[in-house]
Amino acid sequence: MSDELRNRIRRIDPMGPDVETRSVSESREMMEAVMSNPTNTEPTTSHRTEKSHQTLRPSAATPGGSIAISRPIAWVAAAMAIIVVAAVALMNSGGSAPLFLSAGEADPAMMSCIQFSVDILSDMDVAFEGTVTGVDGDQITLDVVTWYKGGDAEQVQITAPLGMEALIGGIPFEIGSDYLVSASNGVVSYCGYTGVATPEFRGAFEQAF
Amino acid sequence: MEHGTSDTHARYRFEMLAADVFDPLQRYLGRRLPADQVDDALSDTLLVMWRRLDDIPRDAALPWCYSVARQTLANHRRAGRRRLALTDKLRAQPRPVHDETEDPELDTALAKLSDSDREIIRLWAWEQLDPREIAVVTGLTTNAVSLRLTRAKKKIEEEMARQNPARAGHIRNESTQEHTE
Repeated sequence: MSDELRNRIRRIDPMGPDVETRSVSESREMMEAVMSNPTNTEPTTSHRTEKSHQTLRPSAATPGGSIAISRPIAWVAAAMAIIVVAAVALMNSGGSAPLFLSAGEADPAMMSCIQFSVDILSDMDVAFEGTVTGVDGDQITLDVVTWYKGGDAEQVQITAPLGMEALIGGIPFEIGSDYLVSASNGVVSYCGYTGVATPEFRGAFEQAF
Repeated sequence: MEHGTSDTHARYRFEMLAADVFDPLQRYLGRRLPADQVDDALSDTLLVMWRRLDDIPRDAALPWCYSVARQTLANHRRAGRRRLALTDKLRAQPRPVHDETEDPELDTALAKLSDSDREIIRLWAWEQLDPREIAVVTGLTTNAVSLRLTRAKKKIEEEMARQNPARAGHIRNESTQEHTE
């Protein structure tokens, strides 16, 4: 009876699924205007402290895990958790021990989320070129060819979110291929800032760092 | 440089969040505001989200964003009323955005609910939220939302049964009140 009523009310929804809305990419001007304002994300807030206690498994650490997967909120929560997770991993690495990074959330719709610019690239705190030497489940291992910024490890391990192993951030990591990787706060910046090492892309890394 | 890195990270998080809530927020606002005011309200909502990026709860990001949109709506409605007063009242009072649908029975039943119960019903049916999420949007407790939701659904069913007794055989008449209409 409840479902029937819900469906009946949905039928008079003036913004039902057949009504089109604008996408973020169609609203760049609005987004840029919003982001030109100051935000509250300063490293000293208590949230940062709290975050350093999260565990290393993205899915297990996601409070949104109890919410139905089909709901959009679930992956926003997951994305937030992954950012958190990676920050811990970075702190634990040092010297020539492998550096651990998270691959962040993978959603094809996000592939163009930040317009590429060398300035933004230069703000990333980790950047290197590496050869993929292993793809094992949710773990990708790269041997570093060149460090541009943020480390001196010989190897970097990227952890993919569960279920996203095959195509991390839309980038098919293949053994033997070279990739340019950048990361901010321990999360790989896959949105145009990480990818197959082409001469053009390498040029951008050289210019940025 | 430190600031730059932090800023890049914030942009990144915001872009991810925005991609996910952009459509639901437009629908939420479109259901409650005239079409020409939706963009302004959306932009105001995004600005609060951006400024309070660190406050957004990881386990309730979308309901949290709806609660911001709800506040934005209230501001827009107040501004709208002021505009109406200034423009010499072209209409006696602001008309509801969507005042007629193809289900007059349901319209009448919804119209008989209090504003806050009607909003809970909308959040449940249109935004597809559960009581816990509705609590985040409205600031009520989950228990209060559950009770009010149950009560409001019952009222709607009863009102529709009253209007169309033939189609409402499955609704038990638990009330002892006489129909006065």
